[in-house]
Amino acid sequence: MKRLLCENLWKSFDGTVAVEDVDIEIPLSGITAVIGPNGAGKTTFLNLLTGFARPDIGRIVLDDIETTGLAPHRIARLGVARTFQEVRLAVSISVIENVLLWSENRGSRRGRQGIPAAARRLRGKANRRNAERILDMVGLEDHAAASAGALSYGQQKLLSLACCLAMDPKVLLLDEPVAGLHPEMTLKVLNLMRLYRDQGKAIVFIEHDIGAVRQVADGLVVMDHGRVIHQGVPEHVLQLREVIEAYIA
Amino acid sequence: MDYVLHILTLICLFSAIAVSLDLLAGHAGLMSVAHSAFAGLGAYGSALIAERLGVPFVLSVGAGMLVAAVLSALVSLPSLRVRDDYFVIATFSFQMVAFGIFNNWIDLTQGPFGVTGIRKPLILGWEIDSPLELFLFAFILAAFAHVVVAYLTHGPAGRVLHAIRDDEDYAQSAGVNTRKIKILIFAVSCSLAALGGAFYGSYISYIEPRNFSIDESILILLMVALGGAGSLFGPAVGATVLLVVPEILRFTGMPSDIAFNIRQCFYGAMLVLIILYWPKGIMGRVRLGR
Repeated sequence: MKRLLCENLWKSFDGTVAVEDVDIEIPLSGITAVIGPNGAGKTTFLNLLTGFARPDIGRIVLDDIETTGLAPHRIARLGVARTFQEVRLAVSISVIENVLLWSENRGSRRGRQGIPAAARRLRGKANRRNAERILDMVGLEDHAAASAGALSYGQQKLLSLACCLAMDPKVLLLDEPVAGLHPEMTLKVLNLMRLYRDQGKAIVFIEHDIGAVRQVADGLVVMDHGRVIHQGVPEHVLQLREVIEAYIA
Repeated sequence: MDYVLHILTLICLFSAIAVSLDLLAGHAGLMSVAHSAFAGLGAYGSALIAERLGVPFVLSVGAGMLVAAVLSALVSLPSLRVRDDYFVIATFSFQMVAFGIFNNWIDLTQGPFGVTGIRKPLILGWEIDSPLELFLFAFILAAFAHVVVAYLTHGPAGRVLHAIRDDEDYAQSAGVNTRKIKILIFAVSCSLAALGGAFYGSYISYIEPRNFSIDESILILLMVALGGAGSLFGPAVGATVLLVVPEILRFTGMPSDIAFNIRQCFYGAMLVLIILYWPKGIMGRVRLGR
């Protein structure tokens, strides 16, 4: 089975341990939620997976390819797409250009070299059609030509998700995808996540909204003080005393 | 008429250098205050290679551009780990070192005495020496620089540059090798500046270190800021305004040394005012250096 494997990951910043001996296996299908109180090390864990932080010890293997210590762009090209806790976009370019950026840079560099001009034009057209389809899917088709910086916060979150989908990644890593969204928008994001899962893809997401976790997660990882304290199915894990105490504390 | 052609030729040359800086600062968000140093590397490199090795004009200009591109790596390789203000400081340091070399390596550059007798452009036996021909040649050169910048800032390449400018981490997460792109774009920008510098030396027939000082780098930056960063023709508009205004001062009958000092004050005050109150300049799309 395809999987994302983390072996004995450690990461500290100036002597403060942010991730401590994380040793987990996440299947590359279905939706896995990562929860935990503030400061539990969830975002650092995501940064380790995506190359934005380098583990002090340990290794990360994605679908039999070791990604430990690779640069973020190389990990992205191996099929790992991510969003950030605070929305990050190229705000001065248009909505559709943001989506195109992700379509155009996916896959291996070698695969894009030496392509004849005619094939490049065809690929360019295919990328644009793909971008339009994805904007249609997330409901931003009417804003395609607008500047990304002009969108509302919720629309920018949707655009971040659309960008990731344009890359057609093996695994989608989302950092608090519904934080700060109104209920209608939250429902939309959760539906998009389900849709992506139903295509046989994997999503790992960090979330504080336990209601959202219950709605979409197939698996759950609980972190506290940098450690994974439980992993399993949400219905079971969310009833564990240690998990409830960690959250309330 | 020759006077007007001279001003127009200078506007074309400075437009080419300014648009090359805009590629870096306006489109990729890498603010540099070393662009006159790179123009100087092109001017000195081209003039000295042509004079000492007897190399034809086109090849000597190509060599000057190559020198600038290779030396740009001296700035970009170590300083791309740092961002924003620290990158500006790195380019400032390079500017000061380059000026020091132009001014003090007398065996090579003849120091403050400068390089004299630089020949006019000679292409396939055609010597470009009349004011009108020189203006047309400068115009073609400026057009070439604008076409290169337009090509690199539209379509997929432009999206990559603008994403790096807006948020480098975001660009990386989209699969962009930002380090490689920044090194390449810095080299392209510096070699375009060197092209402008090489032709400037050939046009004026004389270069000295003061032509490529930090004052000139600030002037080029001001052209971009005033005309508008991230717009194709903004730097040309900025170059036109900033080269025409000092010429108007000539007709006030003011002594040249006083006019020079007033001009420097005018440039400095203008840069501060633009950054504070008019950050997008006349036709800019983005704030300079972001």
